[in-house]
Amino acid sequence: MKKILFIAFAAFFGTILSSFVNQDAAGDRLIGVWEPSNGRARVKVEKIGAKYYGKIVWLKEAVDPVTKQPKTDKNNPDPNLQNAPLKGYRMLKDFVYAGKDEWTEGTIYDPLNGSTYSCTIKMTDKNSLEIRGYIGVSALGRTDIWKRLEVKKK
Amino acid sequence: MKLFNLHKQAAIAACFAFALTNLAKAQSDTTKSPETETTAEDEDFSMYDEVGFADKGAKRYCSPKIEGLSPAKLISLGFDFQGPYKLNLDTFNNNINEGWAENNKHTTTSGARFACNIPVISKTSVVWQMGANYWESGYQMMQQGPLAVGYVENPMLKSLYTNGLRTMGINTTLFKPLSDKKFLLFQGSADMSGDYNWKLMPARYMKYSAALIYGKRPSERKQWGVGLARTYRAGELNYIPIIFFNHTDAANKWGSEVLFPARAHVRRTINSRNMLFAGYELEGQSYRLYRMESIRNQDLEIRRAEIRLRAVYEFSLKDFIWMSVQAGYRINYRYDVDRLTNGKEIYRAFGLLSDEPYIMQNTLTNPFYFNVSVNLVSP
Amino acid sequence: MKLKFLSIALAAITLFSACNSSDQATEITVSDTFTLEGPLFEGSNPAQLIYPVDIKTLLGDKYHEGVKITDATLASATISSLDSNSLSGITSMVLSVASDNPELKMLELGVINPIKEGSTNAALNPSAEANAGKYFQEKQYYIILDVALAQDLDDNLALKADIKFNLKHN
Repeated sequence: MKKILFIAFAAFFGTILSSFVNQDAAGDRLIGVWEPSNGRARVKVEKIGAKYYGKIVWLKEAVDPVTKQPKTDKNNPDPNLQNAPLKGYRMLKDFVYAGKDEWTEGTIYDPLNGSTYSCTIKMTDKNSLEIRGYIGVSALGRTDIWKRLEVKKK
Repeated sequence: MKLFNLHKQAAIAACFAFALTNLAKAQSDTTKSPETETTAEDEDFSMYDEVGFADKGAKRYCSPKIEGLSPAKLISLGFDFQGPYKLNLDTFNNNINEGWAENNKHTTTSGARFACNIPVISKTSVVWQMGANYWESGYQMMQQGPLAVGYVENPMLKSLYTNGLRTMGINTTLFKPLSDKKFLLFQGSADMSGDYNWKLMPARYMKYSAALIYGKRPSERKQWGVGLARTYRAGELNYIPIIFFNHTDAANKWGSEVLFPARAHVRRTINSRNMLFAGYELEGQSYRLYRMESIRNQDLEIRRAEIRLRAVYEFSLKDFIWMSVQAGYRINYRYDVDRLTNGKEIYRAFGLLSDEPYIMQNTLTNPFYFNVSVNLVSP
Repeated sequence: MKLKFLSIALAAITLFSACNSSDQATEITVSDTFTLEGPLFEGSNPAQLIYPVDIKTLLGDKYHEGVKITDATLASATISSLDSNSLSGITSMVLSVASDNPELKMLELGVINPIKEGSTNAALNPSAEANAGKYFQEKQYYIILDVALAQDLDDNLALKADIKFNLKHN
């Protein structure tokens, strides 16, 4: 009887440990380069610690037409952060894999108006994401479809 | 038996080893020793110039907005005030026995305005919104004593001062991008306008409007379109062409937001949370005189239209709560009354198809007005 | 009975107010080295370190049982190069903090853009609003330095960081 309990415990413990491993691997499917539907930017998702972040790696209009310099975060509500370059800026932050192809608890930043929205990400297929930014409740928001990009080898 | 037990224990040990190994591997990817280090993969940003979709069938779609546009209002609650101005009404029903002409009635008009536009489907391939609105226009007579409301003979004037006018409606907007540069925009609404109270009016008195625009979005700062509208903005039914044009300059300081002939504004952006506008809006509806039983069955409708020249200041109170303050000059375009024969809509097409006279031709002088609203704006 | 209750209530209010008004301020410095291993490329290159929070060491004499850091704002962040005397080739830097705690959001603490050619050190402009107080209630958090280069660089890059926080605690 004792041995049966021991085996059952070992199997249970092994399954739990393995599930953590699988959870990590499932969450890491978000890592890669993605493009929003309007094609104005390309965002690379990477992991810091246990969370996922997306930074801008390419901009369709990279140079400010007025200053002729690389675009900066000029609409940031914090005036001391308005000089941060947009290329390299993390517009997706703090996403945690919640299972069932969803990443939650994150935010998305719109450099055009300096606004930060609550955000959820749903992977509809391995090359497509539904990025939903909203205010307060999900009903007051907008969904954008992001597509995975392949970097062409030089 | 002993050998079997040994095998079992070995299997259990193997399970443990496997699980622990995987856990260690997973942990090593996330927990770093307290040393400084770079990310695992250094990157050359120039490699992102040459990319392709992993999914070969993927498409790009144009956005319904352009850079620098004023934020769209999801929920709006406001107050509108006009006046004082003079109301001059014709004899009622072209029949002096039914009510005298009323002249120089000093009046103010004011009321609450509510509107909402909630996204039903909000995706890159289609945006569909449903909305509702309610506007109240109360008429306040400024004179007292012998000229007060109790002495008013004209039934229409009596109704205006006693019941006021209101309009409530539902609307739908559909934005369908056809490609990364072309789109279709459709808007439709059903409105109930009149002097009714909480009992409303029969649905057959509703008015239906719609507009369809084919547009292009050649850049992040410009979008334009042409289309056709069925509208009551000029106070009575009309079918008119419409021009849609939004643009923002390179410095994001100046722009324009035009939906001609309904409205047109020049925009000055102070920053992303403060904007000034100057322009005009054409407001109008057909209001049924329904409340008073003595005139209900005469199928009378007020054709009301006004042009509001205005300056507008919109600013963010906090995050997505914005305030809008308007001040300007209200020009009366039309305030006449039609009788519908057998309830049939009169379509004049600006006199081209019909020159049927109004049964009351009224004039209003033009006052200053202001409008204040608090709005929840869209992301 | 009533008088007794009122006296106790008054004493409690006075005590509570006294406790609340005794918030203290302490300045701490985090000094460490960010190493970016080459080859490095034009654009943003991130470096991060894990910062273990040791309240006792941080506060020194001001430490007491139950102490809680409520506010932590960046007073200054100075970055200098270890390998050579100047920061040439670096166009901008952004300093941020992040945590594995889902309730703690990444904060940008300071930025410098552009960096003058020939500068030997760069003082980041601290954020006017970012408050990393809750980060100091965690056991550890990540400090991330995003370094933007004007051109590709084959070598490693070592940067010394002196990061000063203004802490408020009870």
